Amino acid sequence: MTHFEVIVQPRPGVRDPQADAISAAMHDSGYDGCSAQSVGRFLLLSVDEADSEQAAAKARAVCEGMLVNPLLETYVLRSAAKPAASAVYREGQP
Amino acid sequence: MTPAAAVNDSGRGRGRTPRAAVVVFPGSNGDRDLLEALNLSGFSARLHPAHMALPADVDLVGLPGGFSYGDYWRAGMLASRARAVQSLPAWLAAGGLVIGVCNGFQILVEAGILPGALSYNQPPRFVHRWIEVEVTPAALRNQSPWFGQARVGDRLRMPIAHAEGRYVHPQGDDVIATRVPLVYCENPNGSLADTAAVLDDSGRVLGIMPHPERACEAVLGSDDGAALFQSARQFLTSQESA
Repeated sequence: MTHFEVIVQPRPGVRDPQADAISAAMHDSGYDGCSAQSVGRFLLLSVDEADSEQAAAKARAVCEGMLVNPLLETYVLRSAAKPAASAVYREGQP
Repeated sequence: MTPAAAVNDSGRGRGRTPRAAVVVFPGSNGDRDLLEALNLSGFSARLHPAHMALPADVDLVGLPGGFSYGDYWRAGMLASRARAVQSLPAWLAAGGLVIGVCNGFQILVEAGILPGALSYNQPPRFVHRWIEVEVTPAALRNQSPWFGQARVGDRLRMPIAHAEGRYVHPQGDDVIATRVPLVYCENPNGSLADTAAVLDDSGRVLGIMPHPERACEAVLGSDDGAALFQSARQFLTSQESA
């Protein structure tokens, strides 16, 4: 099994209303000088493939065929360690 | 004879009453409105579950408004993978009509059946109100079955209710000029070239962001939307007698 992190973001120039709304809320909450630059989506992807190149090819196919709308979005694909059950938030880690 | 028994069931295109299927996805909320509008407009319409391939015996398929699959990941993406939608290209090749309303429009672009994409409204908020759209020359240029009763410049009053209805297309205004049958009189969402609806090359597939199915009876505020469904029925019945 090979693991990947997929990060999908609005394409530069595409309106990002979530970032705008969060920036406004930061300002309203007194966090001066902070702004959300881009709000995207994150997915931990596992591919049942031991060969890393074949796994990466499959991961790219999933991204380009389904997870990313190229008219609106770009993506970053990174290899990842085996995700633990608590991968999203682990107590005591930064 | 009951109305159901009056329907000729010898197959697609042969019955005197055209048949329609409204696909129901988990999270659809406009399915019953669309069913009602089709039945009011002379169709024999029924609901169809998203996990089953489209039936061969219907003349028209409707993809309703709502929040299919909770709009998880990207509006319309998960629904575009449902079996009913995956079977749509083959079903279309046999010559039927398709309407995708609001979330149904998002599903059609996500499935690649209509060009472009639908993104967040500008200004960024959910909009729900009555608006007017105007019929463009593109509605008649394609001889679209959806606009047989329309004239260029006609204004239709319908409600909108969406947060991701801003139509975008990478090739810009010129490319879509021939495909956009309806434009907003006042653009509510930042859509490219005031686009309110898009046709495919054949003119048989219509994606529309306003809700014609919620404007089919005067008591609701407008019956302008009925013209689309009646045009579709007229097209289908004239095909049979030809």
